[in-house]
Amino acid sequence: MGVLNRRLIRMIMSSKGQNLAIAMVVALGLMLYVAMSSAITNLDDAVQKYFTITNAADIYVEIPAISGSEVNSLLSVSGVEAAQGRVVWDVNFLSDQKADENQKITLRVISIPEDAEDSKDGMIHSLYFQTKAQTLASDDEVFLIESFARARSIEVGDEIKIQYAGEDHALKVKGIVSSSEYIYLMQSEQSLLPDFSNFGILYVRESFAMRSIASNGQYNQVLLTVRDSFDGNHESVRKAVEKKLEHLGAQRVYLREDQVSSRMVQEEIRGNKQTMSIVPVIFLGIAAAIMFVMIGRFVRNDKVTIGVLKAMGYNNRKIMTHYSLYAVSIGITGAVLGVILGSLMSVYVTTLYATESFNVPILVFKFHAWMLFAALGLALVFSVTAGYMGARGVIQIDPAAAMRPEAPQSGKHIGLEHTRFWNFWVSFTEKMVIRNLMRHKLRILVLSIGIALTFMMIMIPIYLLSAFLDMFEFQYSVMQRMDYSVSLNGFMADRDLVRSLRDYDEIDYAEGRLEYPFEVENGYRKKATTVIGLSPDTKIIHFYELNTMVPMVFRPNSVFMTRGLADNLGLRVGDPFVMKPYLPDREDQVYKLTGIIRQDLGSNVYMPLGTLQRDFFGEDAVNGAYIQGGSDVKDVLTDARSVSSFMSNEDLQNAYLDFMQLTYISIGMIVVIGMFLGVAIVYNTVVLMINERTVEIASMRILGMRIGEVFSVISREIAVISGVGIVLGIPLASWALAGIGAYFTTDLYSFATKPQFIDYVYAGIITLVSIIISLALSYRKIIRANFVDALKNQVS
Amino acid sequence: MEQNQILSISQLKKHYLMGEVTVEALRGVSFDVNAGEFVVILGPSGSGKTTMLNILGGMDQATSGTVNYRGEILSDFSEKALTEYRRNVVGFVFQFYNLLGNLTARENVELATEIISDHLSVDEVMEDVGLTDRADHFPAQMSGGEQQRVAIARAVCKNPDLLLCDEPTGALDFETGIQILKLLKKINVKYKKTVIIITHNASIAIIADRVLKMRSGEIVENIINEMPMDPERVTW
Ligand SMILES: Nc1ncnc2c1ncn2[C@@H]1O[C@H](COP(=O)(O)OP(=O)(O)OP(=O)(O)O)[C@@H](O)[C@H]1O
Ligand SMILES: [Mg+2]
Repeated sequence: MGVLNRRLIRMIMSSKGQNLAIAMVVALGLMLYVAMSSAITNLDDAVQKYFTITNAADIYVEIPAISGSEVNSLLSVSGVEAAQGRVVWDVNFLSDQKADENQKITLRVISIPEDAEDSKDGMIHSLYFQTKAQTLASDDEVFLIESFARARSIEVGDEIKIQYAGEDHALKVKGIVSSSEYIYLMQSEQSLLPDFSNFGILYVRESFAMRSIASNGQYNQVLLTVRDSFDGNHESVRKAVEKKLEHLGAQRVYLREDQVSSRMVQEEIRGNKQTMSIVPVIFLGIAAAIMFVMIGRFVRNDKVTIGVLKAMGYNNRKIMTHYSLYAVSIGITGAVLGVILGSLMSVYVTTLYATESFNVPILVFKFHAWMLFAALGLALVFSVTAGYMGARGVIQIDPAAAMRPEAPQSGKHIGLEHTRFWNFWVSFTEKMVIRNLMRHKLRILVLSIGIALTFMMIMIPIYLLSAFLDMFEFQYSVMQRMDYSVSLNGFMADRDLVRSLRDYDEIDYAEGRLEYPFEVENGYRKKATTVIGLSPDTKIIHFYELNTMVPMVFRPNSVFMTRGLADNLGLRVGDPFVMKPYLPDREDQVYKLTGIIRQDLGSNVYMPLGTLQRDFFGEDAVNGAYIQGGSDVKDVLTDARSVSSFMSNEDLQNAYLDFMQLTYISIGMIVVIGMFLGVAIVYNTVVLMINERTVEIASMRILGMRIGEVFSVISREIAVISGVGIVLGIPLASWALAGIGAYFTTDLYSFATKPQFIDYVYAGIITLVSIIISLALSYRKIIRANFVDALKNQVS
Repeated sequence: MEQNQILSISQLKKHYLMGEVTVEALRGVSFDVNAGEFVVILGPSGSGKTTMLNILGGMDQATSGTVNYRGEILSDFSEKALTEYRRNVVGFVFQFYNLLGNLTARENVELATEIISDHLSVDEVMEDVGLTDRADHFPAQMSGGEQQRVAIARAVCKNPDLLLCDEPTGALDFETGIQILKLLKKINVKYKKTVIIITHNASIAIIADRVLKMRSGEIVENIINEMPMDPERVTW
C-alpha cells in the first residue's frame, strides 16, 4: 500500500464518527433502494407470472344478462382467444359468532365454468391451490378465497352458511384458493380498503349458480382473453366487444388494467418504482454535497501539504486522486453497508407484501445481483464526482505560496464599531461571533442550506401525518355526517323508504340516496366512476370548495366532482361532459360541471336526486339511504329485508385507523431518517468549522478562554445560522409539500390538506433538537483540540 | 554554458504588485553554480533569498530573466515539465520542515520514493540522518532538529541533482544546527549533490564552496571559497 494511501486511512480514521455518519447516509439511501426495488421487482415478476399461469382475463364484461351462445359469439371478434360466461353475485355470509351479530358480511359468489374447471381446461382466472388441486364434485361444495378463510379461521371441510334472496344455503368448503383476479381483495372501489374478514370470494359450480342465483339461466359477466399473437392493442379488441354487445344494452367492458385489484397492484408497483428512482438520488446527493464541502475544506487546510507534494513533483491528478479516494472510500463503505442491510430488509419487505397487502401465492424472495451492482455503481459515480469536484482546489495551489507561513485572515470593519450600541451593548464574544459571521458569508449560506434541507425532510413526514389525520377528520366528520350508509337490494320509492326508516325509534334521521356506476367521458378521456344522487337539501353530505374550504351550496342543478376525477378527465368548472349509464335502454346525457369539491378519499360525481331520477332511474327512485342513529341501528338494518348491505361510519373509521397503523410506522421511520440526515449534515458542518479553525480556537484558548467560552462562540454562530436555515427551510418545505401532494394524488386519495402553522413549529423544534445533538457531539472535538500542537509548528 | 555548470542564472527579476506599490523582491540577479558545489546564500531578512530559491526549485515564476538548468530554460517549461523538473531534479528542504503530520518519519521519506524510480535506499538515508530509531515516530513526537533531518532525508532520498534548503538551521539551536550542516556537507560529498542553502547567518559561510551575498534583491558579492572548512568549525 502506498504511503499516500496510508495517510488516507489515517485521515479517515481520525474522524471516524463524521465519516461513518456520511457513510450511513449513503447506506440508508441504498438500503431503501435495494430493499424496495427488489421487493417491487419480486412482486412485479410474481404478478406477471401469476397472471400467465392462471390464464388471467385481458378483458372483463359486466352485463345484466347474456346467454351462453352470445358469449360464444364473442369468439368471432378478431383478437379474442377465449370467452367464458359466469355468474357473479354478492350474497350474505351467515356467521354464528357473537362479534358478528350486527355485521353484514359479504361473499361474492362466482361460478366456475362447467367445461373448463381449471387452467388445463382453459379456465380464465383459474384458481390457485396451495395444496393439491381439487374439483367440486357436487353443488353444495365450494372453494373459498384464502384471505377470507384465514381471517375467519375457516378450514377445508368446514361448513359455511350463506343467505341469498331470503334463502339459507349450507355449503361445504372443499378447498382454499387464491385468484389472480383478487390479488388485492376489495369489494369495490368505493370500499377503499380491503377488509378480509368482511368480504370474501366463494367459487361454486355453475349448475348451483344457475339454479339458485342467476336469473333465467343467463350469465352476468364474461371473461375474455386476447390472443398473444394478436397485432392490434387490447383497447381495439375491447371496443369491438363493446360494439358487438351493443344490442344487449347496458354493459361495462374494461381492460385488465382498469380492474380494481390489478389496478391497485400496478399502482403500487409503478408508484414505488418511481419513488425508488428518486430516493437513492436524494440520499446520495446529500452525502455527495457533504463530501464535496468536506474535501474542499481538507484541500484548503492541507495547503502546505499539497504545496510540499507539488514541490516534490507530484502532479495535480495524483494529488486530486488522493483526496478523491477519501470520498470514494466513504461511498464504498456506505454502499457495501447499504447493500447488505438492503438485501436483508428486502426479504422482510417481500414477505410483508406477500402476507399483508397482496395475495400472490407464488411470490417468493429472489436476490437480484444487478441491483447490488447498480447500487455500488451509483455510489461510486456520486462519490467520485464529489471527490474530484471537492479536490478541484488542488489545481490552484501554488507550491511557493503555500509554503509561506500564512498571515491571519484579515478582519473587516463592519461599520458598527463607532456606535454606542457596539461599544456598550455588544459583548466581546458577541463581537467575535458577529465578525466571524460577516467574514464567512459563503459558509453561512452552505450551512443554512443544509439546515433548510433538514427542516424540509423533517417537515415532510410531519405533514403527511397531519394530512392523513386531517383527511380522516374531514372525510368522516366534516364531509360525511351519516352514521350508516345503506345499499338496497333494488330500487324503491324515496318517500316510502324514508317513511319506513323513520318509523324506527332507533333511527334519528334518514334520507334517500342513489348510487350507481357510470362511465364519465370528456372527449377521448373516460373514467368509470360511481355517481351519487343526493337530496338537494341533504343534511348528510357537506361540500367544501377544494382550495378555500368555503362551504358550497348543493343546488337542484348542481353537478359536483372530486378533484382527482376532474383532473383525470381534464375538466374545469363550466365544462360539459357525458355520462353513460351501465343500464339498458338509457340514453347518454350531457351535464355541465358546476363545482370541484374537496374529497380526500375516493372519487365521485355528486348530483341532485331529481336530475338522476329524471334522466335515468324514474321518478322518486332511490337505491340506498343515509342514516343517523346509535349502534342499535345495526339490529334494524341487519333484519331489514330490503337492505343488501350497509356500512357503519364507525367501522369505516376503525378500518382506516387500522390501515393507518402501518403508515404511522413508515412515517415514524421517515422522521427518524430525516433527523438522522439533519444530524449528519449539521454535525459534519460543525466539525468542518472546528477543524478549519484549529489555529483560531487554539489562539482563543491560549488567550485564556475556557472551553465553554470557545464553545459558546461557536454555538452562537450556529444559532444564527440555524435561524437563517429554518427561515430558508419554510418556503423550501412548502414547495416540496406541494409536490408531494400532487405526486400522491390518485383516484383513490387526494392530499388537499394545507400544512398547518403548528406543523412548521414541530418541524422547527425537531430540527433544533438535531442541531443540539450535533453540537453536543462536536463538543468533544473542541475539548480534544490540542492547541499546543496547532501552534507548535507548521506540521499539517 | 560550461560543461560542469549546472545552473546559470541571468538577470532574474521578481516583482510583486501590492496594489499601488510594486515590491521588487529580485532586481536582476545573475550567477552560475557548478555541479557538486556547496553554495551558501547569505542576506538579511527580506533580501529575496526565499524568492530566488523558489524560482530555482521550479515552484515560482520569475518576472523576467532566465534560469538555465543544464542548457534548458526553466521559464520555457510547461506546467507538466516543471512538475517533472521538481520531481526528478530538485530536492527541497523547507525552513519550517513541512512534514506531513499523519505520516511517520519513515513514511514521509517514502513519499519521495513513490514517485521516483532511481531513488536512494530509504534505510540508508535514514541512517545517514541518524534517525533509524525514530523512523516510526510521527512528526509531532519529534524535536525540531529531528523533524528537519526527516525533511532533509525526504529531499535527499529522491536522489536529486539539486538540493535546495531554505534556512535549514533557522529554527534550530547551535548544536543541532551544526549537525544539520554536517549532514548536508556529507550528502554533498558522499552523493556528489549540488547543495544550495539559504541562511542569514554569516558564520555558516566558511563551509561553502561559493558564497552569494544578497541585499535588497541583488547579489552584492559572489565569493569562491578555495578552502571550505568543516562544519565543526562554525561558530554562531
Ligand atoms: N507574495 C508576496 N507578495 C508581496 N511581496 C512579497 C511576497 N513574497 C515576498 N515578498 C517580498 O519580497 C521580498 C523578499 O522576500 P523573501 O521571502 O524572498 O525574503 P527572504 O530573503 O527569504 O527573507 P527571510 O530571511 O526573512 O526569509 C520581501 O520584501 C517580501 O516582503
Ligand atoms: Mg526566507
